[in-house]
Amino acid sequence: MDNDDELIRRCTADPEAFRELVERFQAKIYSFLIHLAGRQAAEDLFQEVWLKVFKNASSYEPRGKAVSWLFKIANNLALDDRAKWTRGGDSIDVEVAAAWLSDPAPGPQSTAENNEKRVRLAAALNELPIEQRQIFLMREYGEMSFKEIAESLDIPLGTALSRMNYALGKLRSALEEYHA
Amino acid sequence: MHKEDCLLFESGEMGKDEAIQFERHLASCHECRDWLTTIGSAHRWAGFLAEEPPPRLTMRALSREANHAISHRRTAFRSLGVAFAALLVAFFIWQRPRSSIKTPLTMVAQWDSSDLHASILRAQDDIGGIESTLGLADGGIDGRLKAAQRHLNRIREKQQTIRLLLDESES
Repeated sequence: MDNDDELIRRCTADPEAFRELVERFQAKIYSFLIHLAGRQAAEDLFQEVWLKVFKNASSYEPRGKAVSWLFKIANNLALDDRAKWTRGGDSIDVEVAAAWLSDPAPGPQSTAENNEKRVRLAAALNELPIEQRQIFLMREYGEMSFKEIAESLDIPLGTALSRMNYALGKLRSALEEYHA
Repeated sequence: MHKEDCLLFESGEMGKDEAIQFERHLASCHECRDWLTTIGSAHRWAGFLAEEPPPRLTMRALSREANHAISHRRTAFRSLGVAFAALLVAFFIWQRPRSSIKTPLTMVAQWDSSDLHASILRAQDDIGGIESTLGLADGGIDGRLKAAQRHLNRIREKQQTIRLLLDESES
């Protein structure tokens, strides 16, 4: 239908535009939030993100990708609300594992092996320090450039790149251990 | 190995000349090629971990926005109402006697006009009582009462004007 910028601009006055925007980005925003803040906190944050998007849409000025704007909102809200995060320790593993392993058909690749691999990946992601996890999630779900991530987090570009490299290294090691 | 360059190359954030130079480097660097593969795998991993929110969350998000839109309109109407009330109050203040000294006339002006007539009648009775007690002539006090009556009439005229303005604004 429309491009993302146009959808954001229209969504305050047009409920259909807002619905389309939510449907287009909800999976990415939700995935970002559950892996950053934990499943329980993500549910509240998910509501807050869309409320803020709705409130700020009329003043939206496209400067980069629309999805980056959405993720800046999601990231800021999540960080502001850090006290409510439900992750910590291994809690996310248990939650994610319970959700995935109990789901007999979550998708086309729903074999027991794939579900186990997902649990392993989620656990490895959960073990990353917040600074590394945040950059991995912003890059992968938010499709933000490293320059945008660095600006958004107010850190040097080199720091953003090195955190991403650490994150990738740890995730790769976790999967290699799994396959070994 | 140039891990950071790999990230910038893969994300398309490398300048054109730099990218050409890096491609040449890749041809001879197995480690960088391997790292680029890992970066590519990260997209798959993220996709693997992605989840759709439960439908109830989507519904709630959409309904909250709808409610918010309604409350936004209500707030706007409320603001208009408050602004109108503030204008009325300003109008009354502007109409009040300028002097802050409380003379009998300014005191009368502050009374509710509906009570003024009854108050004047009571005052007349009181004055009659005082006059008879003190044995004073009618003239001076009666003059003041007449002035108060004229002031009361002016207040009533202003009230009528305000009512007309209100009727016009409501219609």
